[in-house]
Amino acid sequence: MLEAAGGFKGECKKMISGGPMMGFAMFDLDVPATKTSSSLLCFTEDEVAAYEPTACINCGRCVEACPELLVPSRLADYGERGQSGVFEKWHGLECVECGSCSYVCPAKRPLAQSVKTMKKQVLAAKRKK
Amino acid sequence: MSDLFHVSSSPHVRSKDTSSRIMFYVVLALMPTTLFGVYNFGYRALILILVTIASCVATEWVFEKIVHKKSTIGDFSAVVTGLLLALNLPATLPWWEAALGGIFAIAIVKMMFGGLGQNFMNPALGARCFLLIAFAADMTKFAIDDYTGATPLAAMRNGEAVNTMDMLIGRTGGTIGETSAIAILIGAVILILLGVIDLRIPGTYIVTFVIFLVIFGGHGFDWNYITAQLCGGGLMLGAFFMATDYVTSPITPNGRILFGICLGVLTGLFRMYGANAEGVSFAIILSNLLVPMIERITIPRAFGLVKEAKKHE
Repeated sequence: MLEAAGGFKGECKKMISGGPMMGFAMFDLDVPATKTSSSLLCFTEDEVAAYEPTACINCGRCVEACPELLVPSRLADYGERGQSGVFEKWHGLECVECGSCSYVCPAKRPLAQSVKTMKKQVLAAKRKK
Repeated sequence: MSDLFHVSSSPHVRSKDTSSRIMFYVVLALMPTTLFGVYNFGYRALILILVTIASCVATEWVFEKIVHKKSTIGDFSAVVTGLLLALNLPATLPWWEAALGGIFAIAIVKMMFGGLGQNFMNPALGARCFLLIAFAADMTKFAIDDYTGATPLAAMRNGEAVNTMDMLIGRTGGTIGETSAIAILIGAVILILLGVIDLRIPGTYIVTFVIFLVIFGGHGFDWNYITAQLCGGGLMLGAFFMATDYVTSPITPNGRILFGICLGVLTGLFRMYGANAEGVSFAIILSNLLVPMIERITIPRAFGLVKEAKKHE
């Protein structure tokens, strides 16, 4: 498929199945394309890896960006500390994983990643019950 | 199999704004005020500004060395604190008192509580109030062109007439950065255009304060009086640069509006009935302490839950 599109332009460092905001990063070229992969993106540099997360400065940009009207910075805190109770209380499960919070964050915190991880843990715990 | 690609969680792109870039924008926006302050008060103002910035950055560096943390002076937040502190000091303050203020701001108000993002009170204002209490005489001695006199606000309190035009431009006594409303407004426009702050806090702050003045000021709707109160003292500097400090203002949009209202009422109260003519610093510090409570009651209602609430009706 990549060959049909003209092959790599420069060295590919990261390949994403889907869009830049919600797509999945692929390990290598052998991962098959599936029905749900709307596009393939090849990055010559990994932009995200270049940033190191710093302390939250409480700017509220994630709150304004969140389409679900959540408070991503707090949810990510609860996620990182493993506080599933408050995470659910503040509707962490409502997150649609759009990634907008991580995108706007000036401190470059992996907000969406922390929230997603916690969501999976909470859901797994529920399934067990 | 070829080399593995990088993998990470989505999103795979990030915005260009970083914490340090935002701090740099703030320094940039403070430049008109700083330059006017130096022009107005001469080289002593410049020395004070450099001393506070140096002491803030050095304190942060030393503190982090002592507690073996990674140095965060690269994020420029200490520079912003130092600059804001200097702009809140009278130009005649001895330099060692200013340096002490910088150390207090960073070591006690900021780093003791966990550094950037964790302090509950604006470091620059905390230090200003510390200096105000510790060195009351030096902190309230305002001189311009070697003529020592009362600030316009203090003069107004004593029932004297003031020249509002002078106050707008800034040719009056006061701290280094607070005198010129115009220079501050230029900086505020820069901040708003760069998307660093929005009008929620300063807007509601100023509107609330004006309403408070009209009702309780004893002058009714006197345009001259209101302009003088708005341009006098630290109100402009406080509203646009201190109250909007990310760390010590509410994270929720509605909370910011409530925060602005609190500030307006408190400033009005302090200015009308307090012992000092000034009230902005104390109003902001007090409101900083209210932030956790404001956030608690203004958490936005999550998207799906709006529907649920409607169903119950």
